[in-house]
Amino acid sequence: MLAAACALAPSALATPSILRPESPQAEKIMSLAVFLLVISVIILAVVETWLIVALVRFRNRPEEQVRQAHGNNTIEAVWTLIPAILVIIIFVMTARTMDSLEMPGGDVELTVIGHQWWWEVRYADGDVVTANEIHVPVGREVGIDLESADVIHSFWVPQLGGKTDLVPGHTNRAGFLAATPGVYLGACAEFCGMQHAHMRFYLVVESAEEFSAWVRLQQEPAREPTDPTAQRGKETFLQMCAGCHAIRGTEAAGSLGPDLTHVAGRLSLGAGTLDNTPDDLRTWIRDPQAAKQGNLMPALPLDDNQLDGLVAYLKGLE
Amino acid sequence: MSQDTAAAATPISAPDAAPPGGITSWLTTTDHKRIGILYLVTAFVFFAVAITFALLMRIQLAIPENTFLSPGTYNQVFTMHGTTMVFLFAMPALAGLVNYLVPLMIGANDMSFPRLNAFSYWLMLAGGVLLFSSFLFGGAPDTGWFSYAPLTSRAYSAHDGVDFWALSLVILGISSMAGAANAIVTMLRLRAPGMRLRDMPVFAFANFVNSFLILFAIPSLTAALAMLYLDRHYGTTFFDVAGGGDPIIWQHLFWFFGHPEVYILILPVFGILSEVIPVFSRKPLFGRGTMLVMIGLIGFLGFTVWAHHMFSVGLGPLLEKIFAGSTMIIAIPTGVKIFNWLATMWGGSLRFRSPFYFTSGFIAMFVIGGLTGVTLAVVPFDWQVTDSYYVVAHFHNVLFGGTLLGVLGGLHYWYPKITGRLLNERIAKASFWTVFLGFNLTFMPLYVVGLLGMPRRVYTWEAGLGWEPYNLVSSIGGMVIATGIVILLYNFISSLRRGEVAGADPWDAWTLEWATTSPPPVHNFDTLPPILGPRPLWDLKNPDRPDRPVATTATAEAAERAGSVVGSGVSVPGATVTDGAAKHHAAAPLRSSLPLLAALGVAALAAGGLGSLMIPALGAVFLLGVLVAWAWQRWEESPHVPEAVRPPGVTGMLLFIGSEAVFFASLFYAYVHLRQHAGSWPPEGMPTLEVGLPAINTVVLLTSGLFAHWGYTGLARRRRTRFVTGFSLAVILGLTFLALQAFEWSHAGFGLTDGLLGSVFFTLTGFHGLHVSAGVVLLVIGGVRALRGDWKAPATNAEVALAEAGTYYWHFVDVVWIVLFSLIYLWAGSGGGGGMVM
Repeated sequence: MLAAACALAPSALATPSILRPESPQAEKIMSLAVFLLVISVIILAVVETWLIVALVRFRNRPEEQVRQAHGNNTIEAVWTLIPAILVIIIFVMTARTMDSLEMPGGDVELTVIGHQWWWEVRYADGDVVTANEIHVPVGREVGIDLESADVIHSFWVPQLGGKTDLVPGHTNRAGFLAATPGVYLGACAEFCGMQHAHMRFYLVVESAEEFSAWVRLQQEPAREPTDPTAQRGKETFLQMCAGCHAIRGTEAAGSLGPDLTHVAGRLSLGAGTLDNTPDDLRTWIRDPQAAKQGNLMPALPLDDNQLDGLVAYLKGLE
Repeated sequence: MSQDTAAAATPISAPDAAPPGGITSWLTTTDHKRIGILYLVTAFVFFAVAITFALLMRIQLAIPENTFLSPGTYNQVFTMHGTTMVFLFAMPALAGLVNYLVPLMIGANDMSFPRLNAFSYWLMLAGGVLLFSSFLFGGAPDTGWFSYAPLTSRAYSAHDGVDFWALSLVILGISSMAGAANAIVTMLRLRAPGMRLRDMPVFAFANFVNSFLILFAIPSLTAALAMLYLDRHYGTTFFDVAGGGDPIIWQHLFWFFGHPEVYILILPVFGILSEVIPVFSRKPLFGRGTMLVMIGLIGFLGFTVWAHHMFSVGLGPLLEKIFAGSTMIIAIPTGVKIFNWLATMWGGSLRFRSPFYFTSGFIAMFVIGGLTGVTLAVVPFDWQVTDSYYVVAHFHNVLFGGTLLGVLGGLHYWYPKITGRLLNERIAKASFWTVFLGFNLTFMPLYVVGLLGMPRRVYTWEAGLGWEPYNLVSSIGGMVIATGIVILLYNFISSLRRGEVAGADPWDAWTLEWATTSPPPVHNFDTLPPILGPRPLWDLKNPDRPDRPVATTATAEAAERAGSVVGSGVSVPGATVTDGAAKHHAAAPLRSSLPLLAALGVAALAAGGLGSLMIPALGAVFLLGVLVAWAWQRWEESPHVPEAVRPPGVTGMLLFIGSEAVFFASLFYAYVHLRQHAGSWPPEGMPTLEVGLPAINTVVLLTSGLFAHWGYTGLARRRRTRFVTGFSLAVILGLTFLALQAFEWSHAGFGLTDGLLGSVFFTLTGFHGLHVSAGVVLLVIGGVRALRGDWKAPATNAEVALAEAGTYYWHFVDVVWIVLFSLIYLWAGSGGGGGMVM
């Protein structure tokens, strides 16, 4: 699992292009985009050609040859009608695509809650709470309730579909069916404050078996540390970190920051800010403000010993 | 050609009859041309700053994980780039052109309200200075030019940047609205004899329409800003979910302003193109009538599309389809405009002078902006590309490729008129090509990187996602643009002294601004040609083939129309004296220090909103003093409007009332929205509002309105006692209303901070109360001023205008109260209310 995570480090992700759709929803939008592109390019070519031909042909013509034409109603009617027809066609295509994108019912239901600047992910079935990554089984319909804990955010996985905002006081719905296994980059797409740029997440699409294995693992309480460094780390954690973070199976039940019960298995730290290696973890804990200025987590007065312990403890929480 | 020699001697300073010396003459000027120049120069200073912000952003984004700017700084820079470009460059630059050109184009001596005009400028400057002073006090705003709630609340934006932003935008909004009302009244009242509204140059006509957009769009923003400010400082909960508020209200109100704003920035530019292209094609504008209708249509439709900025908010498929449709429809009139410009060029004799380069560049680029705009109306596609770099590329195609290129084309066209000198053509063309190339380098890659999934408003981005080349090229393009702008500004400055002397009409053009010297004298025109159609100078220069043959009924018709204003003598081809208007105006005071002082008063009020209460208190007293002096100053507004016509000040007031109506409509909308959102009304634990006292107050206010009207009609009939009695009773009843309102407030049993009911009740009645107070002041000043007139002679405009305007305002306050009374008190609910609309 950990090996897989390393192989899927954020830096190895594919371009999150809307032109490389991996869901029927994104596929339909791309077909629409291609249709728009074709129409637009044709119109553009006509207008620019018209402009260039006019510029070349009538440059510095003798003024005596100019007829003072004030207009022509027929011609104007024609070029009012042409864009009108195009607009009707585009509108119909839009409406049809919208209707075909009806939200899937959701074989897998989850709630995603936006925070400045990370994503809380809660699955409807069982005790699965994670952060900044969403695991879904391939080929199944996924329904997501979107909420916000603070300001407006927007949920966007370009390869799987369009954006839906997370608005405080409202619950919005997003839905998709991921067609191909892989890890897809997701991002917050509504400006949400200082670290809007570092509010990424990963959508992990895996086989049904892998997904259920992942769910089972997530449902388990945190693994108890066995080696002394890690045990020391746990004590430090309960003392210093439990006010904000929860680790199921311990007394730590804070809710300001991400649930860390299975933090070691995650792909990144700080919502895509750092990779999740021991070194990165250490860098993060030592000074979260240096890694991601403005986030809520303060730099705690920890000595090297305590840091070693915390890193060892957290890296054991698979 | 003696005019040309005169222009050569003093190409930049207006050749005033009594040459005013130094800086005071600029501080106190009310000459529309000087104000226009002030606007333009100020706009370009802010432009240079905003371009610098853009460069800082492009440096930061050139390579992944760059650390050139900290996240906090980047967010300030992108917020200030957008805010400055929209409110302190584009709007003032267009206002500058309107100021300078519209009176000239319609053959007037000045704007209708020269002092209000100066006031608009100084307010704009005050707003700009206030906004930028935030850098000195804890940091500039950093929540984006759209500043979505609740990111702007104290909880998430603790420092004062948002307050600076909100207060300066209120000031800039007032400035724009005053300018717009002034422009409308000017065009309604001061057109040269014989010129119909539709005969005005298209630039003037476009701004006539545009001024209505400004008047009716900005109040929605003002209302939103007021709620934001109250939320941040006085504990209301309009946008605060915990207190029952809803942040979506901000988005509706912001975009109800924000989308018309886009048209506010482009309609005048459509006007510029419609001036420049015909002159450099040596042909009249193709389908002129259609072009005017399309401008009106686009202006109207601009108010029906705002929610297309909100497709990802979760409006539901019905609203999304409606707004998609209304947005797409705008493509039709816009397309027709482009086709008609191309048809104007077709078959012409194209003169490749610098203004024509910019307008051709506009067409080439704006088409792309228009087409990508249609794609953004396609809801599912919008879901993908909204808030990505695709949108950034799109609106720069419109605002840079459109507005900026168009404004630059206009400036190259009118520079000789304003300065008396021609620009250096070679440098001008070099700057065009540099800017044009730079623009394409900067923004075309951004379409691609948006499609590749790069969100906008990010201060940094990660490597390895395939975004590198696009960002790098875009940043290089930014440098190219900046180089082009430097070349362009150098040309503008160096040509002031070195440029060839232009003469009155260097482009052989056809509209009235070219019928006077360059630069024009203070009073603009000594003589005006006869105006029979939209191209008076064409008709004058081509007597053998005029647009409208002189020897037809058109002449008689025009002469008749003209005769109704200035008497005979206009239908003679050649030059005619513009009656006594010019002399009359020159005799009026052309300077006043009051506009500047009034702007300072407003600035003090606003600055007080950021700090101690002493400053606004002093500011308010000071401002009141200035306004009284303003009303008292002997000042002949719009001297050549005959007495029989309604005073221009009253027309101005009616326009102001229109915009105030939008302001209150926005507040009422917020109330209804919140009420529906809350589910039950009044909110739990809150009392149902009593109807008794407010019902009495309704009678008091309406009676007051009747007395005001009775008094006012007495004024027109020169019945002094009736006038004094009516106005006095109106004022006394108005004060009674305020006293009863204060009593109700103090016995309400809840306060401003007590949840939704407190928020809406005190905000609505508070703003209404403020307007009642303003109405009382207006009735008193207007009344006293009317009393000073000669009651034996018929009433003159100068005497009655303020009293009449005050009366209309008073009626408006009544109407607002009736709506307020119905919505707040009669529909008070009883714990279970609140249907489901949204």
